[in-house]
Amino acid sequence: MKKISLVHINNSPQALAFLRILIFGFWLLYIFIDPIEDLSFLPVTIFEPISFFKLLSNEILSKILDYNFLFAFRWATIIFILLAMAGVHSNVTAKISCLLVFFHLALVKCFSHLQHAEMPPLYVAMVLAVFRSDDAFALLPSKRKKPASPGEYSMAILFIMIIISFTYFEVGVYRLLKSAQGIFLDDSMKVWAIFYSLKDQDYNWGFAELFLQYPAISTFLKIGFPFITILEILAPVSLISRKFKYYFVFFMFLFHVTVFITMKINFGALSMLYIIFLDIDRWFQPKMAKLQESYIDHPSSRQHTS
Amino acid sequence: MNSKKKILFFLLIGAGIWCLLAFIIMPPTIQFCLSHNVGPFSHSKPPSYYLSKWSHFSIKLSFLMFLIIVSFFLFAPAKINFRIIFNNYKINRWIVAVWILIVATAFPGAGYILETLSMSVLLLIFVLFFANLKSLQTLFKAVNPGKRVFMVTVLILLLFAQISRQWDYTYPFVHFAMFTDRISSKELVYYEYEGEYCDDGSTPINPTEVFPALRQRRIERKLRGLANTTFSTTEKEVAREAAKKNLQETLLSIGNLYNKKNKNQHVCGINMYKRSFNLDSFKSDPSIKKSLVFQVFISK
Repeated sequence: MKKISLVHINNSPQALAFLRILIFGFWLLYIFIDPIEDLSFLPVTIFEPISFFKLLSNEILSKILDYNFLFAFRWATIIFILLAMAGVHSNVTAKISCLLVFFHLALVKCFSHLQHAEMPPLYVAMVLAVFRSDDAFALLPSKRKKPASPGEYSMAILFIMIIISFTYFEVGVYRLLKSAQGIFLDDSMKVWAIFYSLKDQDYNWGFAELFLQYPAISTFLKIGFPFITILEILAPVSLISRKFKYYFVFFMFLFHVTVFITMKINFGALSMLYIIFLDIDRWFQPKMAKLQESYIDHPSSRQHTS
Repeated sequence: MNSKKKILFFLLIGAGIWCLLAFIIMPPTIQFCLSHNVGPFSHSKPPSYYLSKWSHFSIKLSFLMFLIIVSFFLFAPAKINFRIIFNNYKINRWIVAVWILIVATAFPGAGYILETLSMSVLLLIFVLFFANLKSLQTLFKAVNPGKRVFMVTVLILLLFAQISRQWDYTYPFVHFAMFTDRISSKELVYYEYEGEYCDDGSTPINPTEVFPALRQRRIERKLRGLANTTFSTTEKEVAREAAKKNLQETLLSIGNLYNKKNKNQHVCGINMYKRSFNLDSFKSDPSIKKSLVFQVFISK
């Protein structure tokens, strides 16, 4: 019997630092183009508190929903994310950034619905904040007493992959249990495609009319739907099979692009995370060998081994 | 054939016979009995009633048997040597104990027992599979205890949120469900917004453009929800009045912010139009109905 092993067990501090720049860079852009202070214009009566907001009194809530407070909060978030991204004491700044981004997303959620695609990048940022992601590409690295064991970087990236595949797995399994087989046989997918392509005024590529006039196009979506569900359920396999991992990334990326074009649902944040599924450790391989040498040579590790 | 293979063989045969009986033989048998007035069936109920009852019963029973088999694999005494993928019994017992605790605490809010139970078992299999990989165990042990606690906590919260669906409390750990609700209605309804200039003329208003902080259809969905409640015939009067007031104030906010961003040409009113069409009759009648359903006026 073939022994099952993981495909991502050699990762370097550079790979983790690269992810830190990428993920916090994404959140920087997200917060920068997101004028959260505008929320102060909305009526407080449509604010439906979740999470810790449930614990706050109306007085505190009205202070939080003040234009000036939200404006200052947004810029504070931008500054902390910039620091975390640049690697300025990231062990502190990245954690604060995560808290601020969490607060930002929770606040937006209180005014509307949840965007599932935004959750995994937040989880990834949390992992990067907890693990040592500033051991490379950092302006002012955090001061630590002990060097990291090379396994720590691999564990961080593996854990990120576990979280991402776990969320895909959850989506696929839930769909299968709740709505199979009906959802794959009826016109739900066609109706979504038409509905989502029609209802926005911001940009309309006319796909709704195409779907209505040429049923073959929506049949293509209908056939692809169970295939994507199976891929979602099999997402964890990408941790143990390099070949499957590439198929998974290719087809899921294709699916997200199709959904974006046809339904205008943006999974950009989620698609960005596919870079983790590529072997980013290989880009930094020579540097990793050096680090392993320095780990062996480090006095504290020698003490530990003796 | 050794005893392990024998048990597996009989389990497989048993499962096959059960599936054959439950899903292939029984449904036509029930239908045959109903059409020939045989058996304990009341004729006031349609055949679909009995078929769906049988289908629910057989699925529940299948799931129960599946649970018993999984438990056997997990808790079989060590000397039987029947734990197929699990090589660390101590870890697995902890995982199962935590899983039982999560399922027990998450259940009050879960609602759908069958799908929740099935989902929780599948999630448990996911966790057990990775927890039993030697290479992952080695890496897990390499990191410090604080980080290990962090990873376990994240996984527990993800599991809890998915099973309980009470993610209002576990946010940002949420219940992941996308493209799961079936759509049976063929009547598609969406809303459009138009601003009326104070001097003359009108302009289409895209709420997302006015409130980019609520992009990804957040503001649009909020407005749709409020409109649906306001114009609902089944909702209570109190709920409809509250939704109407919120809809009015939200549209006013959109107008005010629009005016703040467009200082040269202000709008003095916002019209909300309902657009609707039937999916089936669209080919013969490709017109989308448009009717004014709500209006707000903005003071200068």
